[in-house]
Amino acid sequence: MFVGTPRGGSTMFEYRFYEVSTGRVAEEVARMGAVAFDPLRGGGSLFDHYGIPRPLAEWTAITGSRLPLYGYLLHWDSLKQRDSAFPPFWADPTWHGIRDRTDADGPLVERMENWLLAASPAWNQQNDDGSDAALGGLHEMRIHHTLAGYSPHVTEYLRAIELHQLQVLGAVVLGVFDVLIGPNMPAIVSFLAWPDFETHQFAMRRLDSEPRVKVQRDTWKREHGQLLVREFEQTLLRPVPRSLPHRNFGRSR
Amino acid sequence: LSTTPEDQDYYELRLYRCTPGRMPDLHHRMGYELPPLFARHGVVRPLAYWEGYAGAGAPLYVYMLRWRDLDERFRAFGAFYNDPEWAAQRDASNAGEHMVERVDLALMRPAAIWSEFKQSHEPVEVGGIHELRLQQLDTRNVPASYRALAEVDMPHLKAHGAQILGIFSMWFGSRTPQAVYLLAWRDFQAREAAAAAHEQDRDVHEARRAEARRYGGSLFGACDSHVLQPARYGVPRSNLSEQPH
Repeated sequence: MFVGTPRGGSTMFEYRFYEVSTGRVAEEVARMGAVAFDPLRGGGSLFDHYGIPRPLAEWTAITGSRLPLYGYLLHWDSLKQRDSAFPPFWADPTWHGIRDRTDADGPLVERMENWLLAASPAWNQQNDDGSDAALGGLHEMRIHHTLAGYSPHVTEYLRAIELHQLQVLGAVVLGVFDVLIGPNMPAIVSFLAWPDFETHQFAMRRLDSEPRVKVQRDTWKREHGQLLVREFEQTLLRPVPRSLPHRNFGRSR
Repeated sequence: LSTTPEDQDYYELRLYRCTPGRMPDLHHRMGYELPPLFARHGVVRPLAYWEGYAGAGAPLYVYMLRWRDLDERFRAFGAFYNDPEWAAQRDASNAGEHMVERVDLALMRPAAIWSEFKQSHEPVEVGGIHELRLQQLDTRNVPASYRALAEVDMPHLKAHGAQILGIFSMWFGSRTPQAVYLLAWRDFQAREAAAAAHEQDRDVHEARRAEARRYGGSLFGACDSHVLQPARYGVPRSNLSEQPH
């Protein structure tokens, strides 16, 4: 269960994404495989050895800014766990060997971002049709930058209206998070899975004309003089097949 | 390369971040209300219009115009913006809320390499899914970056089903030097298959390694990609040729 302790508790999500050197995203996916998934002589992977959890999902970006981009999501029991697991890995000679070899023609990763996320109250993990399929298809990251002080309003809108409508239109919710550390806050990040691009595009047009969405926007304008979502960002993502997530990032399994 | 008058033209790229929920109204404004006012003031007829629900700035509205002369461009848009009829029309259709939250404008010129990828047949409408890529280039090696696009990337894209609608150099705008190119795909699956092939292609990898060795780093910086759908009333034509009247 991811919820229940988002702010007061210690369970935490880390979204890491890397700006990759042009033309080398396949190499970056392979390098991540070598450290997070490929078994060492002892059995587990290098990540396993240091107690770094397997990613909940990994993606390469299809659209958006600063491509090529590779991103993955980690779930930590606590930041104490995180900060005792990553630094020894960073110092590991096997990792250094892999990195030196893959960086021989220039750095594979140009820039990195890592954001800290917590499960949002808008993430209704009870919403479960019982299916247990690994979700390929097309994934989407949606970021709602909210007006400072109004995140609870937008959270409630996402929970009751937008995410509900998007599911009716074919999306499966992977996860919904508040950004605790990251740029351009306050922000709420949703990860969705879609069967295909056509379903996604149809849904985007329909969402804007949904009566409940329109009513909410009109209410915001009437009561607050503006929309409470200050800025919106959208990125289409291609999930990496070796780590396809399940509904609610597997919480319901 | 021979220089035709067309090579000297300016292409104006207009990216509008649309207020959520107002895309249908914006289509109506751009497709039906504005053309007579544009014509009155000498704003050229746009080459194409698109909407984007799949990338930065979404919902995104995009259109492109071609100008012979920038003085003429500023005169025409200035006259248009000063027309009281535009102000009245805008206020009426805005209905108390701006339809456009933010605008990114760029003036581009055709990249010399575009001529190598033009369609030779009579211009026809190009449907499907379109993709706008804004590719930052190595400031130290701009000509080599365009050569690499022409010799490595564009042929690969073409061989995997892309139709090249246009290739430009950012002339006035952000993050120069930047190559801007516009591709058409049969559908999204074709685009994805081509992207996967490009990522895995050994020749492309070898070319990138050779470039990095020769130039002391990558010729290409970060890229922005927008997947767009052409608007019914302004589907682009091959080579971004003018719309028929």
